[in-house]
Amino acid sequence: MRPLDVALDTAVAVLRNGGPTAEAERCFSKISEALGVKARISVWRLDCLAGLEERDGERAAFLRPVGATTLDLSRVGEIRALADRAAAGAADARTLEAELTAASAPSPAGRPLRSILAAAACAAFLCQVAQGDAAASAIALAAGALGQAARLLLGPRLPPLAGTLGAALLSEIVACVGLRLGWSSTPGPLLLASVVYAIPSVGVIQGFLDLLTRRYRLLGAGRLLDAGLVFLVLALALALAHAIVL
Amino acid sequence: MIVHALWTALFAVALAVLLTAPARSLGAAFLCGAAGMLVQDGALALDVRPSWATALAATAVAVVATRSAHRQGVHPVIMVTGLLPLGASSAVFQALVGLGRLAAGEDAAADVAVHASRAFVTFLSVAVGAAAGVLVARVLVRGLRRPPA
Repeated sequence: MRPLDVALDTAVAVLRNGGPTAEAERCFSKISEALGVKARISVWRLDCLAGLEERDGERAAFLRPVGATTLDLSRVGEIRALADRAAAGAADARTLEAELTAASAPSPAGRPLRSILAAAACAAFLCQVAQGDAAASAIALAAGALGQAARLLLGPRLPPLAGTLGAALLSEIVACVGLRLGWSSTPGPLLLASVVYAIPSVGVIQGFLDLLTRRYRLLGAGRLLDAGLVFLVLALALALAHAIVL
Repeated sequence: MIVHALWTALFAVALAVLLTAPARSLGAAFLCGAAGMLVQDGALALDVRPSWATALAATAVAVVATRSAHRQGVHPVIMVTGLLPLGASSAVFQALVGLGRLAAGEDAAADVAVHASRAFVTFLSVAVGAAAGVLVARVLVRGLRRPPA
């Protein structure tokens, strides 16, 4: 693999795992410098990266597709540490290539129970942050756990938005049943917290951060549009659950 | 205010686990969540405008996250977990409810526009505050590293 490909793979791996664009560029610069590559990425988009490389006094354009993105921020941390090691001269091109290949592999499904418990805890705690009552937290806990379990189950079988719709619909139905039975008197916090695991807040915050830098605006707009679609799906799930149960 | 900050800190830790954050970052996520909500609630208690209070809180989160990153290298994860509780969750939710009412044929277009605008301003405040916090933290780190003249 050419040194430029290794540096580009680093930037792509950060973006594919949902990392910040500035982090992707920082990793690209560190690896490029460590491997003696003179290149700059000029176009940052959600689907591809493009730029110019200077080699032997000549300039050549490059284009690299990004592919499907997911959210695994711990991998972003690993890639960042790898770039830091390369910058410090502690990793050669072959080591970088091997570790990047491992980091770019699809995320294992592993630890679904931890993911479900975390989603349940998120829902219950957010309900308290949003001033919900204790019953609302308990219902949100169940709704969050069931929704995340459905999401993990449907994820590999359906397109991402359809999987999110199914999971969010299940969570909102659980929340609406709790409200219909009169167990909670704080519908707002309950209905919001029940689908917290599906809210694309990481994409929204990173999209806005990208908008602050001129070169990243296309990518930021892409992230915000993706997040907007997920919000519309959540609105649809809420409307359907409301119509079915309440 | 303390109890609210505690719930927020617990939410940040749970979110860090959900986002597959490494175990060593959970303490920093707790600190970020608590710091952000304490600053936001404190600023609101001092009659600071909500968007400015959110920006100040985001700055505090970014400073704590960047300082922790300096020590542990887990910056992207803990910054996000600290910023999410400050987000425009209630405004987004109300806009979603408004969309549901629109879909049901009710006249809720104005509500949707107001809540969506509020969500936009809050998210923008978070982004600006976070960017400012990262800059402040970098200046602080450089200042600490600079040898005395």
